[in-house]
Amino acid sequence: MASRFQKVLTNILRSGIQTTLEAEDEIRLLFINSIILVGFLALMVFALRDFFAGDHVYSLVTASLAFIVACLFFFIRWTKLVQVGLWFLPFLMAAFYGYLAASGGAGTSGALWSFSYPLVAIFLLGYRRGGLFTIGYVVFLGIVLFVPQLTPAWNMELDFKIRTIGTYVVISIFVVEFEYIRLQAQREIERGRKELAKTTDALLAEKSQTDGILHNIREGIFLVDEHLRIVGRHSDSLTQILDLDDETSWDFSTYFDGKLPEKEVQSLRDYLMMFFQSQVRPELLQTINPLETIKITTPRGRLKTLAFTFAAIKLEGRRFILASVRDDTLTAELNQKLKEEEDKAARQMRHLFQIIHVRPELLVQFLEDATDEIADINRRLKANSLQAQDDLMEAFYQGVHAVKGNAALIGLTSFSERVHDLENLVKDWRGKSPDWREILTLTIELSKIQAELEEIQALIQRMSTFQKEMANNTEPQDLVVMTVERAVQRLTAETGVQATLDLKDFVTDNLPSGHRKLVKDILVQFIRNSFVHGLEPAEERQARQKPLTGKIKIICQDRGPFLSISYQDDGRGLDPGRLRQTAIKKSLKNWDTRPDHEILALIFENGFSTAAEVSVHAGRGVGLGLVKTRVEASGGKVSVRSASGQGIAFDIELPKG
Amino acid sequence: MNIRYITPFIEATQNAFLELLGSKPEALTPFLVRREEVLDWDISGVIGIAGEARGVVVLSFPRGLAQEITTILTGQMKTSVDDDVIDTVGELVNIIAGNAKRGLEEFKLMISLPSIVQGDSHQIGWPSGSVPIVGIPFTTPQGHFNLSVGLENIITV
Repeated sequence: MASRFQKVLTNILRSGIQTTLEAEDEIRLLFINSIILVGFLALMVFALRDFFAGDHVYSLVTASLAFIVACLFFFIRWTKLVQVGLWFLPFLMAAFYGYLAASGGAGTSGALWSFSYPLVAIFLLGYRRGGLFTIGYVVFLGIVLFVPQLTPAWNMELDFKIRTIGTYVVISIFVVEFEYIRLQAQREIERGRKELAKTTDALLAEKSQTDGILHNIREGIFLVDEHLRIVGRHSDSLTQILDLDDETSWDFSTYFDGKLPEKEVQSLRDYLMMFFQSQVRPELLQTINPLETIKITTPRGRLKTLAFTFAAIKLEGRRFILASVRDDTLTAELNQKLKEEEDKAARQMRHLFQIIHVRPELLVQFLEDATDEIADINRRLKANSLQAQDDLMEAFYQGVHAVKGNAALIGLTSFSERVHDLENLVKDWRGKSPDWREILTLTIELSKIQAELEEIQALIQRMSTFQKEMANNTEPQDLVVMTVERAVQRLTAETGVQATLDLKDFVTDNLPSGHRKLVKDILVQFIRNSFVHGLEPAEERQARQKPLTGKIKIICQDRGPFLSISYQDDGRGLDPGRLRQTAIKKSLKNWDTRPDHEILALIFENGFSTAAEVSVHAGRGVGLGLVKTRVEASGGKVSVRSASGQGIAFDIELPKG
Repeated sequence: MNIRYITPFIEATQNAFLELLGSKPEALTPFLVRREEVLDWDISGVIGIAGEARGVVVLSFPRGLAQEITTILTGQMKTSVDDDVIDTVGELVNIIAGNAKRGLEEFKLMISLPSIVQGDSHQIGWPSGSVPIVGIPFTTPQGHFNLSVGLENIITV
């Protein structure tokens, strides 16, 4: 109930204003409403008393004043215009007190009310504006008291008047002083509050940054105290990385209990304790970190590879270990897989190398035999469980020996060495009856050999699949044709000259295999020649009224002892005049009088080129020279025909033999 | 495959039977198991191994023995492979795996929680590739069962 009464009172005193106000305004609001309330009640009491005392004039004045004060209260409450009230009330009170002083009031003590005026004026309007009211009022009071004509109703002793004024001044001074001090204190508090808020804001911002880091970082970061307990805050990832169920105050060293051998857990504890000793060098501690990478099963049974780092730090005089942990499980798994694959690849490589030196039928026979031998040993092993066999070890030995011998015979050296090791083991048990434990060792070794045998089989399987894939391919295209086609494509792309290739009479079936490379090289040379010297670009061909696309035709004919190859293009052909000039320039004998066909043959001369610049394709003057040299070296002939502007033709005759 | 990885499983198996059923199963001559081989067992507990070796350890029981063990341990007569039988075998394999774990502490090996495979002539999912597999038969007064190990060394020792 008290709180409800408090609420109502607060609502009345704050004129129903809910929002928070500046401290100064708040005080003034509370003050004006208090004065109004107290004043109203006091005025009503006086009005009633005067009324019953028969003093009707006083009673009416007091009651009207009470009414005005009540109006002021509701005015402020409805309009929320507190400032109006603050300014209005001092005037009202000045008027009322002045009337009381002037009229003498009840028992001629009306002037005494004036002493409360400085309090009201200054507390309502502050010491500056309130001070002016106070001064104004004292002047007014002085006039009222000392001008006799104004106070006809009563007469006051002079001393009393002077003391009244004096008391008023003293009160005023103290009130101003008090208000001034109060204001200063208020400002001081305000400044402090603002500073505090600023600091709090900064701290909050900092905290939210730290929170952000700890929430989002992927590493587990935590502090460990000298009891090896995880203390204070830690990054969110920590619980996830370490798979912790219960994160409240757990012991970092007991985390590893049961996950590592006891001895290692103890040495881990010793290691961590070293961080709390100042004489140990930090670099040294880094190098001997036993948890640099560690494989453990987490409390939730997951297998993880974790990487820890530790550093000693001092916080408020206490030593801690700042620890971080990273989940390296995926990386570790990947590395392991990689190593596995590498080992396997190396082993297979070794096998492969040896297998390709073994004749296939021998290898197949060996694999069958070895599989049979091992199956036979296994049959005896299985049978032995039911009924002990005296000759088990002898049969084991003989089987293994046979496999070893066969492997060595066909050259599977590394495999036979493996089997040899097993043979040595079995040898010692010949004629004895070892118990299941010894046999287990032998069986394990045998199982490894069987696994290797399977690996070899898988390898051969793959090789034969590969072979089949290759064989299933459609008749492999003739290499010469392929090379020629590719050369045309490439040169078209590089020079931008368009040309079609006609190979319909290019029959290579009878091309002796000894000549294939030669023919291929020659044709590539001719094609290069056509693209660089012979075939014109489209515009030039258009100007000469030729088809826009150039044409290359290659013919290969079987002519009994000879093979005739003809190469033609429809390009510029040879210009005997230009050749002759080049010849003269290079001063190759006396060429100006030679016949044209001799001039044409010049293009087969080494070092003779009409190209202006050396490029990849032309200009070195060795291409056609090389053709001639090589054709002649294989006992053939080469000649050239050309009509200027019409094209060029090379004819080659090669002996078949 | 290293015999030292297998011995803890053998010992754990023998001890578990000795403690729970009062008799120590006797190991018989081990043999090779081919990966495609279907053995005549009805219920198997498979324990995965990872670390410096990779593979599985499998304890396989015929129906009769599994029922018999359940009857002894639960006191209820079992005439078919019901959930109780599966749970009991699961628990037994769990105990064996837990005990074997202690024997494997010196190695960088991790073992998984066992999973149960059930059905007539079921096949075991051995690790891929050519992994050597060895079977160790055990005999108990109640019947035979089998411990098979298919392990591939990752770190060559």
